[in-house]
Amino acid sequence: MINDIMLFDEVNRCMYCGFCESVCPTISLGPHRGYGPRGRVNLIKEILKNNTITEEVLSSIYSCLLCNACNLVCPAKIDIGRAVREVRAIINNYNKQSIKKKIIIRER
Amino acid sequence: MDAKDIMDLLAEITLKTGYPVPVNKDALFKWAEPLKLPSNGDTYIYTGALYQLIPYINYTVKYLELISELSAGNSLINLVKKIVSISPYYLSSIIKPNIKEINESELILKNIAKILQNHVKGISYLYEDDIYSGVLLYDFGMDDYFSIHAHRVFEKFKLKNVRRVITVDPHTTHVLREGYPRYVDKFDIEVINYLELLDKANINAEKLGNLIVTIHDPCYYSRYENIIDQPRKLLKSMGIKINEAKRSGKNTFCCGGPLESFSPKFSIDIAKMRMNQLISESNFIITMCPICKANLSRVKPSNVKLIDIAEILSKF
Repeated sequence: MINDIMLFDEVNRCMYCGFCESVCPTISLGPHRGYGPRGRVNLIKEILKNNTITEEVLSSIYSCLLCNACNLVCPAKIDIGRAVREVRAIINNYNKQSIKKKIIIRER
Repeated sequence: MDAKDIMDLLAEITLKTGYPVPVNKDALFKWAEPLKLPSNGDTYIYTGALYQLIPYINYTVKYLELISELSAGNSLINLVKKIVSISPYYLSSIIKPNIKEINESELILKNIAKILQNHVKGISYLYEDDIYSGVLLYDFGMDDYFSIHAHRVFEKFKLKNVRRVITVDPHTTHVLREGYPRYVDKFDIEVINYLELLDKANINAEKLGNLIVTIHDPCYYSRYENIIDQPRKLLKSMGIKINEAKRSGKNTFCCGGPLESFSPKFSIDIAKMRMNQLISESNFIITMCPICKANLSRVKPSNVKLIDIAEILSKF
């Protein structure tokens, strides 16, 4: 498994340009930008830096299709699909130890 | 519905039975029996049971949704969790998938196996050892469960002296190439997809006339495994014209299927977007993945034909 530092370095290259949002199938369906790649990448940073795992963060991470369309248009070439899968593995580890939170995918 | 409940249930059932949903294991490899494929060799077709499982997964998810919508939703889910922890086999008597969907999946697998039988030498089949790959566990990030399951699959491969597997869908192909080497020490099985294999086989194909199709590329073939040109070359060799969708090949647009178990609403909305993109090019749509086919078929207009590439290639 890749470690947290490698994952942080990967997502930390995000320059907030938002190109990824133009190709994401889920962003237009969700209630906020957490349902798109830029939101997810920056939530991954929050999870790794501050251990922030709210129910809203979980719905953002688990509403991803892992389709990786975003990776193709990312100027920083962040491997977003794989990063989301990796953070799910990290969350599963955290969630086992802490209080179990619900994961509800919300529609706009 | 709480996606955590779905993931927990699928993981628990996988660990207990080897499959993510309650199934009759003996039924999963029956499709191969009429073909009389050898059961020993070193190169095996490995379906990872994904085509066979889709009708069962569809039914199970609908069943779980229904019980979660009932007023006592949470307590019923907890009851299902308890049943699973005691014996998941109780559930297989409740799960009754659509027979038409099962027959369609089996026909696709038969077509794939027949093409391979006709054009590639020395192909065997794993029969009862053609078990589920664990791909959902990997996608959900349930890596502890995935690791246990992947070791179990690898042990089966070793007992059968498997040197090379021929995979038939994008998800199984990807998890064997990426997930297994990460979690199974000394994973030395060569993984080749059947479209890659047929592309290399230089088949002299029969021409199919004036068929015009559009291809729906599965995300895992196009963006993770770089299987884009092979199906196109195979179809073109049969004289088929391909009208490419604006989002095709590397730029393909997801069918929405991976979210079916967490949010059916998202899943169907994405399928509608994708179907509109595809039918603007042709009413004859080719899929290459059981998840894509199942999800797009939910929104398919009646005048549109949606078929798996294996059905076309079986005319080889």
